Amino acid sequence: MLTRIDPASGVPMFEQLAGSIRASAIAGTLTVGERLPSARELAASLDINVHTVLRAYQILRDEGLIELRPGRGATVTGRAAGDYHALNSAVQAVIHEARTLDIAPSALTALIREAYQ
Amino acid sequence: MNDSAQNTTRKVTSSRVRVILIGGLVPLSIAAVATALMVSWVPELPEPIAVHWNGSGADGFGQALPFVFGPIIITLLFTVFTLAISWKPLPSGRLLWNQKILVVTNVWLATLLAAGFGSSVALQRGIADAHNAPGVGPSLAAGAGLGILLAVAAWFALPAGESVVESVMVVEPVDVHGTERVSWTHSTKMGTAVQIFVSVAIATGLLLVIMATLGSPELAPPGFVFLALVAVLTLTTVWWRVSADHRGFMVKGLFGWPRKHIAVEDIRSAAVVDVNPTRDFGGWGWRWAGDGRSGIILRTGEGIEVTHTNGKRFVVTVDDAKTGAGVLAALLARQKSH
Repeated sequence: MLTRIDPASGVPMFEQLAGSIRASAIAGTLTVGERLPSARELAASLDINVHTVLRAYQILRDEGLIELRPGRGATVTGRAAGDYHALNSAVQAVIHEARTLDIAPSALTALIREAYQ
Repeated sequence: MNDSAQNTTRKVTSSRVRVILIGGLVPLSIAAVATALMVSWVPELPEPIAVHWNGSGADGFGQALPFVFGPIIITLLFTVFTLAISWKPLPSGRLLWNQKILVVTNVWLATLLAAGFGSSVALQRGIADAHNAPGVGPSLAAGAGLGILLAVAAWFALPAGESVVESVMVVEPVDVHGTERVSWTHSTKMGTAVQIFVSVAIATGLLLVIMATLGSPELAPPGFVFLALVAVLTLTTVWWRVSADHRGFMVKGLFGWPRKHIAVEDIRSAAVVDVNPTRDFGGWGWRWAGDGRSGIILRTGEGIEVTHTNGKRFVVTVDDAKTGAGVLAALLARQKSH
């Protein structure tokens, strides 16, 4: 699982983290039953507060993407393995198009955000 | 078959013949000669004979007949193992370092066993009471020394050693910009076949302990404690978490231990490798290959190879190795730009 956060982006860290993990689940790099690192571990890894990670995990649990169980930590549920195949290929197509047009990643995300709202 | 393929087959065959002679025939002959001599001495031996010594003299006694077959049985088992691992030299006809080490170890072990068992029996010829058997320390040391000489000779008689022809893939660093922080983590566990093997071994151990305790109940507590210890140690090597982030490269066992950490400033490069456990590392688990390469080897397939600034390499078999190595590459690039 690859997670990224950018303290300078202005978006709250827990939201960025939840978004990053959600993206991994949708892209299929997180498989069902996979154990996420403990909140303490992930916090140390990204050099952020452990409560930020816990808050991100709670958001993902409320969405049904992960299960939180005491002792077992966070595991990826079947919900995460939903049928995102069409969405993933559409994303690939959009990225391909953006690359040919030489559009920066930030401009592309801005475009999608505007259109989505 | 074309010329080069024929040439390859010829080199491989010639190496294999040398492995069979040096790693099989020589150790088995040494053990066979020692066994034949010991068997011929049996009528002259006390009954029982001394089979174990401590600092002050013989302290363990047993029957001569199973004892004299010790060297041949152990050598035979180790020979089967050696030949199985060394059966396939590289297409160039060269042997891997770990195959060479195994072959010469077999020569050394056979000599040591033959000298140790042989001299302990030889010294008891004509003695009426095994309590008076002289110590075997000097002859054991002589056997170990002779074994080392033979092993060195065997080393030079074997084809040249070679590091694994590794399929190393240089990775593209993942995209990281400005103030962004990245973290990659993945769990990795032993292949199913190895897991089954380990489970069967532990189950067999449990059965043996139970059978032993039926006869002598006082053995139960140490037996089960020992078995629990083995089970816990095994568990620590079955499941690992691998991570790459600003702290560097980290691998931790199930209980957070054992662990291996290489800080970013100690990393020279990171790459994706294709690992074959028996060929590259001689097995599974936390392994050392003979060429400055060590690693946590749990299955066949892709893995991350991290090269330390001192040239040593550490390999972990893990899925999505491309992303993990890519994160390390990005961290290295960022460190250089600072």
